Amino acid sequence: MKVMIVEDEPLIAQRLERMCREILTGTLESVRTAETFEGARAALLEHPVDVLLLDLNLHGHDGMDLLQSVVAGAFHTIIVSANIDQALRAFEYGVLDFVPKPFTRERLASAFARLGAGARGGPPSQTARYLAVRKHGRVEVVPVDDVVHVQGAGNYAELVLRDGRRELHDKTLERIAALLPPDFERIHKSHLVRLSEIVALHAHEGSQYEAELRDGTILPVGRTRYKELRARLS
Amino acid sequence: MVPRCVLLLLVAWAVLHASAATETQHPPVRVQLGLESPSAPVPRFPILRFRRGDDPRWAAPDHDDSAWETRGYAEGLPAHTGVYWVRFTLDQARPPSPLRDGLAIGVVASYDLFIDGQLIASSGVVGADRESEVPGRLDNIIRIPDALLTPGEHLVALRMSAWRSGFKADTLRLNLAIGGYRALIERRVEQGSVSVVVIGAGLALAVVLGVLWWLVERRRALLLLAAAALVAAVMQALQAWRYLGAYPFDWHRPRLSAIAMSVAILGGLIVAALLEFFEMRRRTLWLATLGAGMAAIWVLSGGWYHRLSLQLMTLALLFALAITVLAVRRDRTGARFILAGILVSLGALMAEPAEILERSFILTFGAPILGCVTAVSLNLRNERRAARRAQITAARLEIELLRKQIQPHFVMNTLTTILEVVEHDPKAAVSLIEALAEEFRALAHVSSERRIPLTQELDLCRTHLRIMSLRKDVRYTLHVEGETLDLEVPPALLLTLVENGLTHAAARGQSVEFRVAITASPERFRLVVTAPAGTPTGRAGGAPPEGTGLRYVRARLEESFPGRWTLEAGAVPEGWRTVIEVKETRRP
Repeated sequence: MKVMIVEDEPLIAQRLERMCREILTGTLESVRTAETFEGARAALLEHPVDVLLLDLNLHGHDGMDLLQSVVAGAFHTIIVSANIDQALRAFEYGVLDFVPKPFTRERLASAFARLGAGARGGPPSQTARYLAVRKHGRVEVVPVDDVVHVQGAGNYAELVLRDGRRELHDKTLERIAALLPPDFERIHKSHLVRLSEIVALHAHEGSQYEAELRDGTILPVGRTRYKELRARLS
Repeated sequence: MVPRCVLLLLVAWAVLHASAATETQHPPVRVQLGLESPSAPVPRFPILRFRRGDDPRWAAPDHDDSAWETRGYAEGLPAHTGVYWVRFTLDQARPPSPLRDGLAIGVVASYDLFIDGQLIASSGVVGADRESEVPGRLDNIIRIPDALLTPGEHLVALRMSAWRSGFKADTLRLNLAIGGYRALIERRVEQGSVSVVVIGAGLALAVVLGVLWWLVERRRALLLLAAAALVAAVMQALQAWRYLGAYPFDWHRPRLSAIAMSVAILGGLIVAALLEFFEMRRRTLWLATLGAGMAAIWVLSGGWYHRLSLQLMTLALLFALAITVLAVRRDRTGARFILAGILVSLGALMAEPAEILERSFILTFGAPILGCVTAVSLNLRNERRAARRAQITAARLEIELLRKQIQPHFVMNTLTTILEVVEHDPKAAVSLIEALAEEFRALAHVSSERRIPLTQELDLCRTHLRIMSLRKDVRYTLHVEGETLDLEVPPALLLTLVENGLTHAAARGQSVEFRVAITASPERFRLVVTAPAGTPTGRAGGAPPEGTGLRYVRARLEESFPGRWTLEAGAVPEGWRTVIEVKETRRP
């Protein structure tokens, strides 16, 4: 795991780094720190990371405007901030967790734990309502309500929307899955579907399973996941 | 400004004087016509036969007075002399005309009244010299005995002396009215009744305004209006005294003089109240000019007291008009109401100059007083609203200050730092905790204040910088140039600017200096806060984020020094500079 910490207070950055090392022993590859987001951005281009720990109020500036560009990235974002007013909005835009300051190691650890379990473990208010997509240098915001299903495409994920549009997101399917609400189910290694869109399940010979969506799309269903899926749907 | 006004006033005065003079050539007859009833009192202007000396035979109807002097009503009778006799005839109408059994006499003389040779009534004691004269009542209503009510002519004789008439004039007027006895009495009471209304209203108004002044708002204008209402009541009491009470005739001139004096005082009080209310400059000059004008009028009045009152009131109203017009030009609150009142007043004065002391009194004096009261109320209302708004603003500012300082960013980051440091560097943790406690203590102390000593504000800044130094591992210092003296500033004025300046990144171990330069004179002070540039954080030109920080500063400045402050901020080579200037700091 590669981690980047963006924090302007040296002692707090020190604390975060220390705790990351303690929590992620064994899996931690590198920890980098930056004091400004511009500095971090440059470093991220050179060395992509898996998780970004970010303080929104760097040097007194309000970070909400940079949040959108951050969540469009390929990495997961954990906000570590003093001002919890912004927590709700941060979650809406698809951060993995929002850790208020001051924080204990346990709290930080539970944030990292979400990498595996995903947002579905937590309260519904902490799932994303928008996904930020990087397009032509800008960031475009796609409401999650518009997303029918998500298809993995290598290091990217393709969001398929109700109106037929397809948007490419920098995050992998796993990472997107961690942010989406529980009614999105991973039906296949490469497919994530909104359950309410499934109208029928088909089983073919040779253990080939398919899910039919409202708009007629047919998506493959993983063998191991079929039983679970059928149970969930009925 | 004042000379122009005085000129205008003189012109207006001349105009009004001329018109007023023609109106009041003859002092108005006190008898009020207009009652339709047949027994209504009718003034009599009989031809008087006059003879000096004293002989009881002159009362007899059959005495030959053809050689006696004839005097018309306009000529009057001699004053400051006695004894003399006056004879005239009175007609009694035939039935079915109602009987005119009452005779009303008003004269500044003592007399014995004979009708057809019989002594009917005496007023006072007629005296051959001043010492032996005893003044009788000014007004008498005499019931004519039934025996003397036979239709036809009757002879009335008056044996009179007028040593103590009191007026400077050499002649006096004999006011006569004949009519129903009851009607005469009723008429007299009626004349006083209007005054009673005004006395009541004036006293009530005086009490209300006085209580308002005492308990609610100690404005001099209110007190002057209360005094004016009281004087109006007193004036009307003096006026009514003649009709509802009675007094010896030698009190007549002092009473008229007192009435005129109270009119002058009333006019002066109204003018003074207006000067106070509109906060005019050179009030003493205005009042002195008014006083001089009134004194001049008094001296030149020639003893016609009614005209004197009219002129005094006119002068006062003209001054009031001038002041109010100026106030309307300067857009003072309530000026238009008062102007309307004064115009009504002047209108009433010009329409019925004879009645300003009686029927028109309420209009003449009441209108401007009402206008003033309305204006004062308007003012009070506006001030209360402004005070409420200021209170709300003050409360909001206090809350904002507290919120600012316990806002998560500062507190939580500091606590996190303490957490980090407490195990590895307890001494540093203790310093941080102490500094944090000190800042909170100071803020709690000052947040409810409007102004705090500048030294306290600077201490607050230093504490804050100490905390930030410990947190960021940067040496923040505050350098102060100039004397703080006993200057007072709103709480967190400089702290907010320092906080804004802390948004710049600084390298660890670096020394960063904030500067505050103070220049002060008795009239104004100037604070220059320079926040160092530091390492640019990506925001161009080192402009710190505005928003709530400066909004708070501006609101506090306006609260403490309304309309007397300026704030300018801009980039300088050293960093970001904010200049605050405040004028007239000594005004409460």
